[in-house]
Amino acid sequence: MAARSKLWGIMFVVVALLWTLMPLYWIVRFALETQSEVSHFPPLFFPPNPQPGAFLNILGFNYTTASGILLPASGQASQILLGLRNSLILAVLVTIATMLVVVPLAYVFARLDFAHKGKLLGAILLAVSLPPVSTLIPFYSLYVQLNLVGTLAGLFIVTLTITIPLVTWMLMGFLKNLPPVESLGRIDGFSRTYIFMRIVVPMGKSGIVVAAMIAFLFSWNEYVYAQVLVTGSNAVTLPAAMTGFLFQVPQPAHLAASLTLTLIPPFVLVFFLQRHITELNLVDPIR
Amino acid sequence: MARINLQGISKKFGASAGVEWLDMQIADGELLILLGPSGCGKSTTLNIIAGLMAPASGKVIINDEDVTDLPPHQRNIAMVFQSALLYPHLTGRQNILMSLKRSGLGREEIARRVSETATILDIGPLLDKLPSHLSGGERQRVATAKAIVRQPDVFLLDEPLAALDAALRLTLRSELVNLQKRLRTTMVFVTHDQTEAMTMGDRIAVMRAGRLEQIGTPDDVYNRPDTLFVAGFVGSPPMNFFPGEIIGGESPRLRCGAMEGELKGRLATVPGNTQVMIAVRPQHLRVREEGGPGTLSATVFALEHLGKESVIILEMPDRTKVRAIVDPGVRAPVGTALQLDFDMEDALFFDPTTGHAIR
Repeated sequence: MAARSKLWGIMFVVVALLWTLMPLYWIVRFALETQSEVSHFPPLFFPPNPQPGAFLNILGFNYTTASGILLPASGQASQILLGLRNSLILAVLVTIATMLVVVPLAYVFARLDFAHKGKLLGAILLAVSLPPVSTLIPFYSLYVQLNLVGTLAGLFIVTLTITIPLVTWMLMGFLKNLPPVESLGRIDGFSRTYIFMRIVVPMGKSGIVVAAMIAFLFSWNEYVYAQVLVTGSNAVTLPAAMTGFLFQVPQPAHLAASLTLTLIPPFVLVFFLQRHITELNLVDPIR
Repeated sequence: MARINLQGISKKFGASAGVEWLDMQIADGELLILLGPSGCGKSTTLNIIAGLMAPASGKVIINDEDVTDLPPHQRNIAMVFQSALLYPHLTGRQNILMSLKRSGLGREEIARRVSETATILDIGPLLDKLPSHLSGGERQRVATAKAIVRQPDVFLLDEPLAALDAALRLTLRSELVNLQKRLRTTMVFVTHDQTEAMTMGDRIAVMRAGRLEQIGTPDDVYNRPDTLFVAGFVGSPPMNFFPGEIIGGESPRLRCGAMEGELKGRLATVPGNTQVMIAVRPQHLRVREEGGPGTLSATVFALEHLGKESVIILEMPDRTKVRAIVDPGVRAPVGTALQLDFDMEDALFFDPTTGHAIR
């Protein structure tokens, strides 16, 4: 019985892994192939001559393969480089701003009682549940008047409207489960600020780190607003810059390479922070 | 070393009564237990003494000083919270040190106190462990150390043993009492467990629905309960209640179902034909197989073996349950009809409407 359910478990994991990893592999495979290898039929499961040409091309370099084929730099390279730079700046700034707002906000909602708390919480939940598309047109017309279209500052503000409510909502649940150390701190003679800064924040650092990661990923992946507000401008972000490939002579390898490029920062982030993700059950073991 | 005086403390939470008009005096060096079911206001009272909650009205006086408006750490109190709460991200030693961080003591004095406390509670090896790596009992000891290292005037404990298993609770209970007697620090201990209250307390304050029902020594509370609630709450197995009636006349008598007994001078002030509630401890009930004219009939509902004795649970004709302590050898199949009676001297009497004792 136990052995059988274990077998099912393993099969489930295998299917889930294939489901997740196969599309990723397919993209990476494209990125490592030349144009003619990509268009080969039936598709080649393994790239016959893997080479990093597409990656160099989208970053603006020519590449000659071992068999002497010249892969010229992509015309989109400047957009990709600009997008990469802007996306990194934006994601870091959004993460910092989000956490500065969200950590105290989530703490107050999670641990303190005050007038109209329920209504304010409802407002946050509403902001989480609104699809971004619904505020796209109002934001756009507002931004036209404020001259914020095509600026990183504009995209920064819009992205915060997504990350702040969402991350607040997530962090609240985590902070709620921390043991009631406020009373303990007050008996020990600490001020509310001290308790928050020196006890709750260090205690909840796993949750806070994971929340920051989510803010980073949301900003990094944000596409809808970027497409409308910054495409073609100097403030273009990576997801928006990538769509440029769709309007050119098809270069699947370049598209695949830039997709792979966008996957790298989240992968690195999750890899280094996985300890915190698994540590999230920091709550009192006896309760 | 501290006397605590609570004067007319009130605190409401929405519709439910937190505490209403509570007056209480706690003597220097006393171990007072606040006992009551959940929601009775005992934790609220403790939080008000600690200064974690401000009372809506009334005063908290410690050693003749009105501390009602003082923040917790200026009251020179220490508190142990439910399930021995510690800062989970700090080691045992860091947790203890947090107690002295705002004390203004010198570095050497702090180090001396920590090592002294660690010796008293025998927690040396636990000092460098995180709370999540300690067992329930070890956490309790570290939490106690964190409290006594401050050398407080008053020691407040909010159900610190509630989350532990029964055997450990038994050990820690005596350790806490022993420590309190050695240090001679005034201690207020909140619990809903009447056994804990009876075994630990110098005095017990029984609370219900925000009010003090009775305050007195364990002996007072057990043998001379002031109210029906106290009678039913204190004691295990709990007290049995039978409705009865006083029959007036030359020598007043008491009737309880088929039972009738002389009052022998008790309840002399109560007029005839008064309904009373008769309360009898399980050890004072006599259970037998065949009855006589003056016995009550009941059927066996369950039999619980405790080893040195057994508790027999009987169902009365009006479906109420009655518990009696019987010899361990007694065999009584469920459903057997039995008879029971008791001596009028062992009975306590209460007014069924007000719940107050009639003596």
